[in-house]
Amino acid sequence: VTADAWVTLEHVRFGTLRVPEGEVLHFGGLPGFPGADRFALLRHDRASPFLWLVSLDDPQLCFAVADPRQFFPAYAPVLSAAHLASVQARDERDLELYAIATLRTEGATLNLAAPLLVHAERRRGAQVVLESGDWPLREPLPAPRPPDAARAPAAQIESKPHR
Amino acid sequence: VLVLTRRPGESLRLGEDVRVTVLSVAGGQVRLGIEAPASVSVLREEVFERVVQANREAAAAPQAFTRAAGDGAGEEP
Repeated sequence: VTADAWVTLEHVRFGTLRVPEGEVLHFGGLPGFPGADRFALLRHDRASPFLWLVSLDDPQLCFAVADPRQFFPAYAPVLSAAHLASVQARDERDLELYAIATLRTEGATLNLAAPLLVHAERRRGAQVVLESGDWPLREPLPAPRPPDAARAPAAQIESKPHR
Repeated sequence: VLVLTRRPGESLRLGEDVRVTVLSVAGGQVRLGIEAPASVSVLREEVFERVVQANREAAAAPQAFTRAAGDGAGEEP
């Protein structure tokens, strides 16, 4: 990455963002947001299981995401060839896995039915809809409030077994 | 919208490599057979729409949550 290869964005939530071009992920749209292609995955706190997936095309748009296996170790979605092809991956081992969180004061949920795949090397991301129907669209997070969950040790977060 | 009439056993081609065949029509239900490359994702419309709705809720929620809780979740990374 050369020194001038940065994407700069005035984000309504995060202020001025400067993202190295080499870290921009291309999603080619998400269900409900077909025009949102370029995203950056930002970690705001190393102790938090949540990251922000920030749109570089729409300064209003961002998602809180987390690797769902931090909360639900048994989560093992079956990925099809179409899912792998959507991020130009040959093997699941090439991929990072995230789920979109919906953060509400009354509690947070994770979308386990339509996880995000990220192929960092290819800079591709995709939200895939699992065909099996085994995983819920709004799975409550074990912790009662996200900020507490974000600060709690991982062992406490995982205290409630899944299913 | 393009409207076509097909009978059981007849097919449609979408592009060169997707074929949709009407297998049977009975009791208000149409059974379809879909042949498509592995790279093509096939979803029921209502399943896709539920994901659209969940994404819209998730995109709206971080702002609402930060306002309601007044916490540090929105600090600059």
